[in-house]
Amino acid sequence: MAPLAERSLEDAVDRFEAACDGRIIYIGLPWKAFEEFLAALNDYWESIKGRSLPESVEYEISKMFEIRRRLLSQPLNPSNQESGIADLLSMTRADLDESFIEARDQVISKLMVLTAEDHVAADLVQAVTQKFPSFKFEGKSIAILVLDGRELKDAIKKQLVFPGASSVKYLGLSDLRKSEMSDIAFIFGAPEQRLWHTIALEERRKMVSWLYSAPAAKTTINVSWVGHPSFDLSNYRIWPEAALSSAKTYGPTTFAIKHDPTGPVIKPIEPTSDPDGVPAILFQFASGGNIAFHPTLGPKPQVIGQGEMDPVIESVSPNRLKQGAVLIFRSDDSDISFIRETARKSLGSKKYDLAKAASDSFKKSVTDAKDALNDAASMLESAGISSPEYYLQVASVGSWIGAQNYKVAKCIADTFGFAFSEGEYQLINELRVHHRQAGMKANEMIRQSLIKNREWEDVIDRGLHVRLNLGEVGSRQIAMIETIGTVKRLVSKLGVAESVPDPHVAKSELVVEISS
Amino acid sequence: MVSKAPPSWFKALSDLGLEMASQPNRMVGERFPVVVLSVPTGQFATWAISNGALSSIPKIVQPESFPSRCVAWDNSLEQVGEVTVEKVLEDGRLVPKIGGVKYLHGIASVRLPDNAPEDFGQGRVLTKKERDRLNSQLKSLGLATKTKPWFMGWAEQCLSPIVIIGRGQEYILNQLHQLHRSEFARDWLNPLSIILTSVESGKITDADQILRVPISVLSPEASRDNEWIQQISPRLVIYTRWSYFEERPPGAFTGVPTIVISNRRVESSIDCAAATNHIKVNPAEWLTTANQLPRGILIRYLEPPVVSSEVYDPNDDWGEEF
Repeated sequence: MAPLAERSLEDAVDRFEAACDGRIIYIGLPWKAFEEFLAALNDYWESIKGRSLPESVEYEISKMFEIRRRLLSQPLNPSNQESGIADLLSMTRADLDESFIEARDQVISKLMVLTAEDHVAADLVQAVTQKFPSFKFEGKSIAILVLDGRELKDAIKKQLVFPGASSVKYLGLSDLRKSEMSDIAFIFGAPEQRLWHTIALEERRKMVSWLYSAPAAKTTINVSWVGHPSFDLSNYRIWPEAALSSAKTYGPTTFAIKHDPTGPVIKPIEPTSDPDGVPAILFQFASGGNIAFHPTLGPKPQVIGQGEMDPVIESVSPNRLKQGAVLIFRSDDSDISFIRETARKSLGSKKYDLAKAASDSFKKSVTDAKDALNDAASMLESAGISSPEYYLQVASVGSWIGAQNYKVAKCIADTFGFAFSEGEYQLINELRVHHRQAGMKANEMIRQSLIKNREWEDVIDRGLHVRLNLGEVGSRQIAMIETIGTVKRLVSKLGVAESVPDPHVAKSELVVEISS
Repeated sequence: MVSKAPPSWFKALSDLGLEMASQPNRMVGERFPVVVLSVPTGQFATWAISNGALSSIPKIVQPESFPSRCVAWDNSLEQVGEVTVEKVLEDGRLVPKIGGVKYLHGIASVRLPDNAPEDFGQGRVLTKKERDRLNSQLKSLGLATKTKPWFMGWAEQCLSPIVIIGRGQEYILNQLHQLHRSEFARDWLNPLSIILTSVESGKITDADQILRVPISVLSPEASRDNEWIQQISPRLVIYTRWSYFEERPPGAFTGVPTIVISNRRVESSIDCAAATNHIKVNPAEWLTTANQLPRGILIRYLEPPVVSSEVYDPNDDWGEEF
């Protein structure tokens, strides 16, 4: 085996070669029994959706859609416990209005038929060698893109057999992106379906386009069956002027299914607006809750992006955020003491205290002026400050240090008639620099935790909410942006998430807790 | 087993680096070439590009007024460093004089930006052993002769450096070390590139040593926060990510041929694709490598205007925590 450094170079060589000369193969498989189940589920859903239903009926329907999702995401045999069919069939029938019973029973009967069959793609070796008799799995490394979740992974591991393969890895989307190159990678259906469904389809396709344009294996085999959307490689081009690798296509690329039921969705909680707040950009999360930022002032959103191999945490302008971006944010002040202590150590206690006193004095003078003057905002505006309300409100926010620009700080001080020297500004600025450095240190510690435990990535891809408990640097939450709008929000609430799912109240599957 | 011959992608990226670095740096009022390069992995792409770029002829902009605060070979310290360049009359013609030494055949020097730190370029870049190595290696390539000693060629390379902007400098440098150590891939690098990239790596990632080494790997912050670095005129600038290029101060390295690497495995490549879709133009005719790239490596060509250097003016943010 090549030493680690050498292997990394070889891996990069393989990656370039797979992108330049790799093969993409598509195999489409008809599956009548599953098609009939989908049709029955669609008919049932169309007849019942939008109605007020008992909880037991809603639960039963969600289980039906879960079965559909599992059988579409990987070739799991319907008789496998993890498909969820056996559980559903053993459940007490939900208390349903008589007019819907026939449609529901149709779904149940189709599921009973399904359990007698193997999944149409259960034998992948046969599915491939039927089309390519000379194709060899012996001695090859194989990567299989599977739905996340340990039980599902274990179930599919037990079921799929590749005689003679040198290795078989079962990976979620984010792990496959980072894994070493394999000889063969299997993708089931349209990979964009693994991402949160309310993100625009075109955007989701771009997010998974690397599977075809920077493949994880020399040969990528896309296996689809009825229920999957039609396959067209050109959908995954992010540079429309340049074609991706040519693909070999076998079997139907479009399945004759009339409908694609999407199932129940989570209803968002309407955000509240603060009449005395400043105009802010509102981001609502896929998992519920929201957060707002001023377009230019105040805290900046922090996003988790993908580095070459590992995640990176970056501060970005709120104007640059799009649906699907993954935000990491604080939900409490649990990290403040870490920031302050770290900054105090690096700046020195004496200087830190002097700087803090200068900052507190500046802020107090502003809040005193605000309280004493009726027209503080218009005075600032007349003096040329473009966001007077912001500065009046932010002065009472504990975490604000002071105006970043000396001219702005001096202008505020002169307008309200209190003394403020350049020396004080320099002290405040030093305090800011050291707090920022402490923040960067905290961010790096958070990043290392995100690298150590990658469970959060696939959780976020499914539109769920992640809470991180990170010891001395406090706690953080991660969520994906679902919609972007505007709102008026108090300055003290900028950058603070509201209405996020409470793990003690919300359905447990919406929140995943990860501890460092 | 990987071949000792450079793979087509490595060769194509080296050719691109050479072609771009060979382009003259553009002036205010002109437009400068930016190639956005879409690759399946960012790994080793930087060094493949640099490999070609280092073979280009250094672009030295000599000072126009004297005496001038410059960077050049400092004979007394046997390093490239800060010097005062004068012009003195010798046999009826003006020749540069640095310290007590007159250079009758001329010597490369570039003016230090006015706001460069007082203590620019402290410390030793080359050990005695490294100087001896460079002397013998550059001689073996015919790049050091009796009339042009090795240090002149070395200084020219340093004064017209390749600048790489990216986070994870160790990660980037580690790739260079892998290429150097690899039994098969070492032969992918051209001999000059091997010689020039063999200096102690700590200097390569130290922003204060820019212009003292042929290649500098800087963080986006180092180039953003040091106005004087932005005013330097390298041979080629390579950004390892679209966002580093997009968020650079407008005047940073303006006019310098630039390559922006967009790794398709990271999501920012989607932003890059969207951001460049409507500003791309047809590649310049001189960019012949654009038509010779293997499938899987794509480029977009941009021609932004050269702007004068500006002071970076961030918006107020509250900055207590981050």
